Amino acid sequence: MGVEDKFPEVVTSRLTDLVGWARKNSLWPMPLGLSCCAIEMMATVGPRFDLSRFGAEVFRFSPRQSDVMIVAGTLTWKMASVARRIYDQMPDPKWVIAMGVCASSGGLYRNYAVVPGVDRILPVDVYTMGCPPRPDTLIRAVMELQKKIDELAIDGRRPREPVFVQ
Amino acid sequence: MSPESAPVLPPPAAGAASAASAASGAPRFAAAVANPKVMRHALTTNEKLFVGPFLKSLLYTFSRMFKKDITRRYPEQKMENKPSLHGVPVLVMKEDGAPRCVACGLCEFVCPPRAIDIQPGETDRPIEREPKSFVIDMLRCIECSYCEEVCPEEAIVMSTDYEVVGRRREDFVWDLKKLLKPIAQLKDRIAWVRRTYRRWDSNADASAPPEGGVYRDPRWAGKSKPVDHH
Repeated sequence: MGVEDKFPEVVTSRLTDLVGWARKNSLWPMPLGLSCCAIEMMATVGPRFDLSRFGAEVFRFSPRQSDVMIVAGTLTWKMASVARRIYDQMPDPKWVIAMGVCASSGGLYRNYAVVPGVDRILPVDVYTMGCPPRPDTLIRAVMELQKKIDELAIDGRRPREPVFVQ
Repeated sequence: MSPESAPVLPPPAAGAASAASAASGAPRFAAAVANPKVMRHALTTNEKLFVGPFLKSLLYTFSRMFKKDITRRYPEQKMENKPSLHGVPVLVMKEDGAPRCVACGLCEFVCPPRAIDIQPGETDRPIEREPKSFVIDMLRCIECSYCEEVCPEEAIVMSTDYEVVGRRREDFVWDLKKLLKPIAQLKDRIAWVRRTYRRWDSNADASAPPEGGVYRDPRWAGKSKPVDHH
């Protein structure tokens, strides 16, 4: 009945599946390296751990070209407005990884100067434990984000409609 | 910076005589001549052409293709499972299913980010105290292992699980059910803890090496009476 019946060599797909597949395998991170987590982030793109195996090695230092913001380190209230402005400059759809306990919850710093979790100012998609997290943990966070993108529709917000096979 | 004002020495091939003449001709280069090691010399023809260094760097990159690959394929190849690895803190569950913890609150007190919250309770077992609830906020925990070091009962140890990610902050608040781990899986780490922290203990007792543990210090072999404190 469908195209695949007439032409068995043709594979059909939905546009939302195709776009989601392309998005999740070509994440361009915006590194917001604020403290020691940034060192582990640099190690992650190095040859030993090699984040490019997941298509996410192109660290763009311009938010206009980035998909995912990796907040790596202690975010102070003084830096918070800058972080929010950088996030606002990123084109949609965009995601945020909170790397390490400082970015996720404030961590060790329970004081007036540090933002208790970047989810106060940014919509965080994946939280990461560790002080700092090992490169393995950041890779795991990227994989978790890929899983999340795979569940989203083409606008990057709504959940993707399931496929009904008759 | 213009070529006249730049502190550039003549090429090294020109020799000391020309350097001296340059110094006499231009007095403001005197410091550069006096200490030629820290100043740059003028570029040679090879360096100006850029071909030689460029080919050298290409050769280095190309030679890497025949060297051993150092990439660790993470999801398949995890980190080496050493007992010294600081991972997530877990609670030791005894063979009968009860936690070793007696809710003394030392780890709660020593925890730098205040990630631990303990509510003590009572039981009818010989060890009468136990934690009614033991909660660790894993988004606060910095895996410093102070809790493990301070624990007098060896009830909280660091496990080798080190990659914990999640999408919601509530998922990181681990309660007693999630924290308890059978003692059989933690034997290596407990032995490592005994070996390491006993080294710092100047009042270490001869009866300290336990019978139940994996590790026995060879220095105390045959000299001690084994005592199992648990």
